[in-house]
Amino acid sequence: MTKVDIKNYLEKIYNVPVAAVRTRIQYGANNKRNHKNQRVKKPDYKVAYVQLGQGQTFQFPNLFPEKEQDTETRSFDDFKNKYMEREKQRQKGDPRRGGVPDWFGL
Amino acid sequence: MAAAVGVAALCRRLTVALRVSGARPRSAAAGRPGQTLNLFHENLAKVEPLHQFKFLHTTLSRKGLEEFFDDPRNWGEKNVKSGDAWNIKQLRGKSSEDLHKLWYVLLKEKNMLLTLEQESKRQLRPMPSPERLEKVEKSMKNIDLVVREREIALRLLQTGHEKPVPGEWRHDFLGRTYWYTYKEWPIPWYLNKKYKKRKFYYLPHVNHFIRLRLEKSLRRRARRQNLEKTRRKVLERKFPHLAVKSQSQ
Repeated sequence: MTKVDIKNYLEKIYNVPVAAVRTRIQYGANNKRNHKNQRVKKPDYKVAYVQLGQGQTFQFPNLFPEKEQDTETRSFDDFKNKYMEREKQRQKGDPRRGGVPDWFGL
Repeated sequence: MAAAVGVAALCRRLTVALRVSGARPRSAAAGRPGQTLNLFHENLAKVEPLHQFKFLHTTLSRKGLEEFFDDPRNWGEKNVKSGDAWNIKQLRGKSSEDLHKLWYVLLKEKNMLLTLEQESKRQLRPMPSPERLEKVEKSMKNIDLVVREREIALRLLQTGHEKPVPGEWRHDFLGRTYWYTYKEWPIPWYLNKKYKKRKFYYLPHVNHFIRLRLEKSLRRRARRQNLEKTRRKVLERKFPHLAVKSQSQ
């Protein structure tokens, strides 16, 4: 999509007044290697910087705000925490040894 | 263009009409006697395929950039409910204008889902209900198919030809048969040096390789069918109550 395409797209389909559009092509790195030691390329993509017209501002919203969990997730989280605590207690050795591991004699 | 702006305005009106609960269509249709929305009550569940049950405000969104994100009440949810994709049979019953509007509705929905996907990648969070993207893709593909069918039907009625560009079946030098579409040239073919070098025939020694290719394709097809059969048998053994009851006398 060219600059003109993007401008027309936003104006016609989204009814957003566009003042200017600048584009560039971001090169995707080719440094990662897979298990066969072949280079794996991340795809290139075009980045467009759109300047909105008519004195508009835009703030990218937070699409993952913290929400209060419902009873199901809360009970599951409680269960998970209890299980983790029990596991940790089992892992710990004799409390009378004061945190010293069992490997040491006596 | 005025037509596209008109379409965009219609789209917005349509999305507004769809997002409101079932009581609305009657009033919307009554207000504009020229446009009859084909959105009956029983079809409402299907009309907005990715119908979020939580409704937005009914006014048109200003300046449109909010359309890149879905309903603010869905932000942060783990799962977002959505209806099924559009079937070809359902779309064949719609008029071309309805299909045009639906295409743009689906396009905006796809853009919204893609931004959500990218944002979830950036925030390292799981995207809520990613199957919506597949449903939108399928619906758009089905609309494309229906429009193509209608185009072919119209062309057949008007000109008697199925394809927009004439062509014919030809062989290549390896013995394969393919559809060659005629192209427009400024000179006839017997003056085209590069075209004369192309061989649209194969010599007799290629017959052996055609036979080998045929055998290979038959073997692949047999392998694929056997695999499907064995998979189906395994499933029937695991879930006998879901087996398709074959028609018995």
